[in-house]
Amino acid sequence: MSDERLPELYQRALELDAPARDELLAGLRRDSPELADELERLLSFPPSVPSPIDGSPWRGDLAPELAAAPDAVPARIGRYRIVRELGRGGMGRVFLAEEETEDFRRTVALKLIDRPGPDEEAVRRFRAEVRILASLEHPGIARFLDGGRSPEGVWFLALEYVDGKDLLQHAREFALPVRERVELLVAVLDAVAYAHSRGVVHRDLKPSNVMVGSDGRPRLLDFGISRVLDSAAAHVSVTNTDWRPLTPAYASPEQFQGERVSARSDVYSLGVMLYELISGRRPFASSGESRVAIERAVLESDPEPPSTAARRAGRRPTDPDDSRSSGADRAGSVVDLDAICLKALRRDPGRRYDDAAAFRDDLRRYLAGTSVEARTGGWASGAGSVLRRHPGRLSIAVALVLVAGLIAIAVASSRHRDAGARAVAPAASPRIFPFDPSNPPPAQESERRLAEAPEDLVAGSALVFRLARDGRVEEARIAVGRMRQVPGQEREPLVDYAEGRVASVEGEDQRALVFYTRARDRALADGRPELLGAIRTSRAATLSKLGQREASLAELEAARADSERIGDQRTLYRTLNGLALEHLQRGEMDQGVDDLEAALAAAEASGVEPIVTLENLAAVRAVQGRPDLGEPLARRLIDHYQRAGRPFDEGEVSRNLALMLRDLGRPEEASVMLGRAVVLLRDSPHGNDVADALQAQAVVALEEGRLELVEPIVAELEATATKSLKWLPLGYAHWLRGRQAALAGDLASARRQFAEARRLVLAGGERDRAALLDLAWAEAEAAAGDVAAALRVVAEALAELEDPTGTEAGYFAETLRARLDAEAGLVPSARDRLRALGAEAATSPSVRRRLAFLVARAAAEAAEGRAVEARADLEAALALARQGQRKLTELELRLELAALEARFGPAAGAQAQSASDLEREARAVGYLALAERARALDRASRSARSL
Amino acid sequence: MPPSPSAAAGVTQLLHAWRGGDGRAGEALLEKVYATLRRIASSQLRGERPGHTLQPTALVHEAYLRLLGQQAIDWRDRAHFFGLAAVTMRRVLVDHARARNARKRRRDEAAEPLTLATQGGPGVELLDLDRALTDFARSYPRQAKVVEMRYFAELELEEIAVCLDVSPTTVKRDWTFARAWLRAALAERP
Repeated sequence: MSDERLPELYQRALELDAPARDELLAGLRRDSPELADELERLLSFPPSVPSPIDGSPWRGDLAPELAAAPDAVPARIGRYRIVRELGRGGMGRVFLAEEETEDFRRTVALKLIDRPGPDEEAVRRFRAEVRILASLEHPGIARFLDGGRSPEGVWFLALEYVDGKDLLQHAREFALPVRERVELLVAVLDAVAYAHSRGVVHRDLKPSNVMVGSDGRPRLLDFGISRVLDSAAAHVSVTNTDWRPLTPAYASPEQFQGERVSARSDVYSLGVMLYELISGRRPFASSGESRVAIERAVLESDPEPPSTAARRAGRRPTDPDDSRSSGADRAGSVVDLDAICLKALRRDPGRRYDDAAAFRDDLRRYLAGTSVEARTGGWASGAGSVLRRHPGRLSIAVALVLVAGLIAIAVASSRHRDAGARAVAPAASPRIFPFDPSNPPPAQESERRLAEAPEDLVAGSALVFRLARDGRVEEARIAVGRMRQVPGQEREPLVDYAEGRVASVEGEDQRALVFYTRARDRALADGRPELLGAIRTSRAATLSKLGQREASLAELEAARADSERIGDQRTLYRTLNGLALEHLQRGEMDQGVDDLEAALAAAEASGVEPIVTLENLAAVRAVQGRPDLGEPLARRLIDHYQRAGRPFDEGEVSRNLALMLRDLGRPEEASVMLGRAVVLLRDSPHGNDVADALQAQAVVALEEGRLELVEPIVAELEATATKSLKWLPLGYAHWLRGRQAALAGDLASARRQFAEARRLVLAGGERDRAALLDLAWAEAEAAAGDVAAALRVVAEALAELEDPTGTEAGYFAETLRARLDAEAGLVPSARDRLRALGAEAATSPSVRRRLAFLVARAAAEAAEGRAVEARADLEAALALARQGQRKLTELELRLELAALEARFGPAAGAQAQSASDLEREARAVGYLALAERARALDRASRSARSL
Repeated sequence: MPPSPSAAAGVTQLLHAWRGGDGRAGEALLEKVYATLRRIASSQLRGERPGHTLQPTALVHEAYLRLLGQQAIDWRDRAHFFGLAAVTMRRVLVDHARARNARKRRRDEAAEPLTLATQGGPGVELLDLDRALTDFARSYPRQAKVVEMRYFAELELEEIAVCLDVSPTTVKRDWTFARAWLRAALAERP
């Protein structure tokens, strides 16, 4: 290949489209066939194909074998004078330097980094990251000072230099007792919480990144740096997984898997640090030090409670250092601290603390000796809230509910309470499980019975279950031990079942499985059918925790059959809930719904209040777009929470109900409900709760065209964000500002705000929410006429979801795309999308879905030239909008109708739309962007008419 | 660490002479730069974990500082220096790869060639790339220089443009062409 014309020809060919290119080649072939061949060969590797010179030779496996020489340290880098080298961290050389300006001199840590990327886009991203990091100001975080390219061409980051000992060193040297170690971590969490509230995730938290100064206050290093470096590396080596910069000992499962990192990943790393602080070892230290071993352990196994680890290492659980024990420990129990630590270390991010603030708050509760969320767990504060908080998708976090196999929050009715007290006496042939494992009789009762008859294994098991439920694990273990002394105990399945329960509570799932299996087999062999349902359900829950989903499902089906056969409705209720969750997690919605409905029936028959079932079913109905079916469920829940005195749960459900009511075209009722929700949630300690309600209020205000109501809500969201250090209210605030800007026609501002909102919400790990919020952004782009941008944002929104099918965001993304396709003239594609949404879409009980569908279909009809049908659909949509007080939608639809008229002429016998009236109305409401479009349409049709 | 004024002046003279067309000055310069770069690179490499990156531009600038200090020199000379540094960096890497292969062969281990990190494409050996680049330079010398300066020294578009005395657009086009050419050339190998 050596013809000098080749480069120029190649360049020219790239700029041509396919037919012109072929022509060029053909012409060339006539004169110089060899050149044509070469050109063709080159063109078979277009710029999009990777080339060997895209990477860098300086990566890879260069061993330090070059000639030895004294360390080379540069004298200066830009305005920084190098003092000495500090060391080589995981990300490059670090120097101690002095920055000298006219006013001052300060000491900094200077890190040399790779150039951000080959193009301007990468540099722009780098600078944006730098700006965000530089804005972090907190006494617990080492200041990020500067970053960029020095005059010598070196890329660097400058950070405040912090001296001291790292976290573990400090704890060791000062021989800190457990309480003070926890307090130290709380201080760290404070700083991390601040950063999380600004949407900055650290991504590489580890003890060496926490410096404790002589004042005993910790300071965090390298906040957010990992991300800056990652984007520099991303353009080079994707396949070279070794290079992924993480510290295996502290990395979260999702980091190992290369998945998106969020605030919850930081929570995990902090969990590892807590574990190490209080037990002296890391959670998976026994697996080995190699990255591969750690990775496998992190992804597949559960750590033992830190107190157990400490004990095993020969340390007393409350004194990892054998140092002075703080007798003044008024803190909570060891079990509390264990639970907090393990919650932070859950493999599923959805089951951990949302962010550092939540983690810190629970630790504070532990220090104060008050009840800790990690133990009362999702249930007491509303396990169903786990689903509720993930709008539009059924979260895997519902596995929470399966954990102990004890699903029902059994708020006993009086009938049920009696049954519990009676049930311990073994009947001649008990028809059902002798007591309710999820709400066993009080410990004293069982103890009394045992005092009278120590060989009463049923009472013994009831005692164990109760003690386990109350967190009195040691006593539970002792009770099991006592049972094992009773002659003949090995033939009683309840004993194995009870011991399995204790193992489960201690987090030892494999052991629990062994016991449950033995219990089941014995029950089968000895003909104890009344025990099978419960034992199988617990066994299934454990199998699920161990990842054996198929086996879990099979066991649940068997359990169901067992309970149905003997008519044990109470146990059946638990089993059906478990089944429902399994099916839902697999995406088998209809099956899941059937199970939940059946569970409701079983609950009714056995006198249980099926709160979790109601929550789950309501969430499913929302996802299915059936607010009509969700409404009665929500009302039952509100009723229950009112009676139970749980205002925050009531508030959340009220908010959801309000949105349902709106979606059913009952706006006044919705507003009342929403107002109530806000009032209830304002007092909630969780900043995110009231944020949801406020955002709903703002959205309603926008829809109704009352734009002036939005500003105070945004202000309250911002205030909430500052007060509670939560990212969600701030994210919502930005999103609302984005919508305001879009309505005013300021697309540039809108984009900035939407992007910031997305960043914050994603940093919190809320992908479903982010996707839904992004759709508003896409709509704004489409309205402004930038279809390419709209499609891009839609694609990004969908990419945030694991599986868009069946989600809210998925549905609305499709309708938007169908509309955009139709407007671009791609009618077959639009039609395909509409068809895929299903026949029910046009008559969906959900007004929003129907509206979206009708608008998309109208666009398709207009594109096909079928004006009559298009008009009919738009008029139908307009009626819906008016009925539901959706002012903005109403204006938009009227504009579409006006455009239709302009194109096809006025409808026979119908009143013409006045674009100038429309403009005036839009302006009056504040919808300036629409007013402009109306004006443009008016002008265009006037000039068309005058021709 | 900065050079003595006379040493620095000496290097400047060599640079200047080389730019003026003095071949021997160029060679002398090359040797100096080569030695300096090897020293710097080795100290940077020592102690780093495998898979860790060096700072090619930093190397270049460090070498520059070592040889020329704070001397104010003609910006064209400076650009030329960078071009030279790129050449030497290539040499440093190639030497290293060869020595490594030889060592492995002597130890009768499976010779692990220095595989370059590539973006999703097949792993390419440094020595193969070097050979292909030499071929490339025979027919398209300027484009090959662009590759050298960008790939081995990670110099910026503008710097390369100044050094080669062409427009940045030309540099971009050269790079695009080179990417395709080298990809095509190296696809033939197994």
